[in-house]
Amino acid sequence: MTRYIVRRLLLLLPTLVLVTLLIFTLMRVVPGDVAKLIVTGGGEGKFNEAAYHQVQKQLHLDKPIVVQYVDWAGAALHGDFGKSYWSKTSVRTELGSRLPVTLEMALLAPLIALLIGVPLGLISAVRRGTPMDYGARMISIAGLSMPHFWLGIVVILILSNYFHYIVPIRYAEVWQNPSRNFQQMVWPILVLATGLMALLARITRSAMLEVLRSDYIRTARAKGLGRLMVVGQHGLRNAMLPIVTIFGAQLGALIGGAVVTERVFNVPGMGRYFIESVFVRDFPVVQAVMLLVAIAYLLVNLMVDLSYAWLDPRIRYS
Amino acid sequence: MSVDAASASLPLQGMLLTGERTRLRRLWKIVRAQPLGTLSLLVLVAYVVIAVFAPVFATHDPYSINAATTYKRPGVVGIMGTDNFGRDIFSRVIYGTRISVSIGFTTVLLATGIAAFVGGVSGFLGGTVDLLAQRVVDTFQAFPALVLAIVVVSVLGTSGVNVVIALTLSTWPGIARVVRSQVLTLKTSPFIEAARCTGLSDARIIWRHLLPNTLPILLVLASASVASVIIAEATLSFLGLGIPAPEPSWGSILTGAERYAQRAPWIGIFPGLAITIAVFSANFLGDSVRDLLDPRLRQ
Repeated sequence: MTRYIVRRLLLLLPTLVLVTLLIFTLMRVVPGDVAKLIVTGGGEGKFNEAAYHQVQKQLHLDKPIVVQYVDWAGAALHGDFGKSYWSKTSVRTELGSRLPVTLEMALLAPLIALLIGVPLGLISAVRRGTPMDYGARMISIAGLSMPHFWLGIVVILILSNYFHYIVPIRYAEVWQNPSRNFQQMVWPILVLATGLMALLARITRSAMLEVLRSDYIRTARAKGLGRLMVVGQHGLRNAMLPIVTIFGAQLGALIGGAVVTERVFNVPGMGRYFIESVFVRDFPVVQAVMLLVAIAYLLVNLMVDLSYAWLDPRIRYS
Repeated sequence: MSVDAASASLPLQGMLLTGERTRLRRLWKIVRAQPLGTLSLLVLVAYVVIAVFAPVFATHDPYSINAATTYKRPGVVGIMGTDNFGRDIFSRVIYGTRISVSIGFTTVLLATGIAAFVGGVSGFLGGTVDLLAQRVVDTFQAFPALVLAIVVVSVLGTSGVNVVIALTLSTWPGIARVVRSQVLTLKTSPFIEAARCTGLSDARIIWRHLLPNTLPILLVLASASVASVIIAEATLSFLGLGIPAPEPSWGSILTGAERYAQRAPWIGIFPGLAITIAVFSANFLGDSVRDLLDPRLRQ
C-alpha cells in the first residue's frame, strides 16, 4: 500500500507543474492588453504612453515571460498570489474571506447528495421493474438534465410566486447569524446537491444490479441470509467502487456548478469572485482560483484512487 | 456466416428483399426493446429540424425590440410571452435551438475525434508516448470542465467559434481516457495479434482494427457528451460568456430571469424546459445505446 501511495504522489508532481504551465499560458494568450485596459480605464479613456509603461512595470509585465512564470509559480508556492490588478488588495486576503462560504456549499452539497442518492439507487435496484424503480429513475435523469443555474432560477420563481418568499440577499456568516445563514445557504446547497444526487442514484442502481446478479449473492441468499444482510453487507459493499469513483470525479463538476449557483443566489463565495474577475481580466485572481481548484481536485482524485486501492486489494498490487 | 453463404446463392433481387426485411425487423426489435430511447432519438431529430427551419417555426421576429409589448403573459403575446425588451420568447427559443444544436454537435464531433486519436495512439503505443499523453489528459482534467471553459472563452473572447474551442478543450480528456482503457484491453486480444502477424502497420491496425472496436463505447460517450455540452453552452451564455447578444441562445434568454421572478416568471421557465428536454433526451439515448450494446444488461 505504501508503495502505491508513493507512486501516486510522484505522478502528481509533473501534473501539478503542467497545471501551472497551462494556467500561466492561458493567461498570456489574451488578445486584450491588461495594462492598456487599466490605463484607459476599461478602454474608454485616453491612452497615455508614460502611464502605460508605468503600469506595465508595476505589474511586472515588462519582464521576460519565463521570469514572469518563475516569479508567479515561486510566490504561489509560498501561498502568495500577488495583488489584484484593480483593487490592489492581496488576492490571498480576498480569497481567505470567500473560501469558507464556498466550502460550506462544497461540503454540505455532496453530503446531502450521498444521503439521498445512494438509498434512492438502492431501492431502485432492489425493486427493479416496479413503478418505484421507474419513479426513482425518472427523478434521477430529470435531476441530471437540469442545468444548475436553471434549477436555481426555478427555485427562486417558485419561492417568490407561490410562497411569497424572497431569499435574503445580504450574506451572514454561520457564527454571526446562523438562522439567516441557513435561510440563505439552504437553497443554493440543495440546488447544487441535486445533480450529484441524481447521478449517484443512477450509478448506485446500475452497480447494485450488477452485483446482485453475481454468484456470491446467490450463495448468500441460498444459505438463508436475511435480505437486509444480503443487500447491505454483501451487495452495497461491493457496489461501492464505482460509486466512490463517480463521486470523486463529480466533485469537480460540483465546483463548476458552485460558480454559477453562487451567481444566481448572489452568494459572496469564491465562484462569484472568480466570475467577476474573469470579466475584468483580473489575472492574479483568476490564476489563483484556478490553481486552488486544480490542487483541490487533484487531491480529491488522489484520495479516490487510494480509497479504491483500499476497497479493492487487486489494484494495489498491479 | 453460413446464412451469408446461403443467401449469396439467391438471385440478387431476392437477396436485397430479405436483407431489407431482416433489417427492418431488427430495427423494429430495437424500437420495441427501447421505446424511450427511440422517443429520445425522435425528440433530438425534432430539435435538429427546428434548428434548420427556425424561420418557419418562429411566429415573430426574435430580434425586434418593442416597448409596447414588454412583460406580456404567454397567450397575450406569443405562446411563451415576451421578455423585458418586448421580444417574443417562443421565437427566441426556436432560434436558440440553432446555437445549441450546432455548438453541441460540432463540439462533440471535434472532441470525440481528438479523444479517439489521442486515446487510441497513446493506448496502443504505450511507453513514453502513453505516459506523456496521460499527463496532458491529467492536466486538462485537473480543472472542472466549466471553470476551464469559462477561462478559455474569457481569454479568447466571446464568439461561437471560441465557445466551441473552449468546450472541446474541456470535453475531450474524459473521452480520451475511456478510449485508452478500451484500447489497452483490446490490444492484447488475439485478433490484433493476428493483424500484427500479417505485417500491418501500426497506423493501419489502430485505424482499421482498434478504433472500429471502440465505436460502441464512443457512441455512448458522444451522446452523453452532447448532453453535457448543451448544459455547458447554456451556462456560458447565461453568464454572458457565450454567443454575444442579441443572438438568442437558451442560456442568454435566461440571463437575469431571476430578477423578473415575480413580474414575468415565464421568462425563466420556457428556455430552461427546452434545455432540460434536449439534455434529458440525449442522456436517455446514451442509456439506451449502452443497454443495447451491453449484452449483460439484456433481460
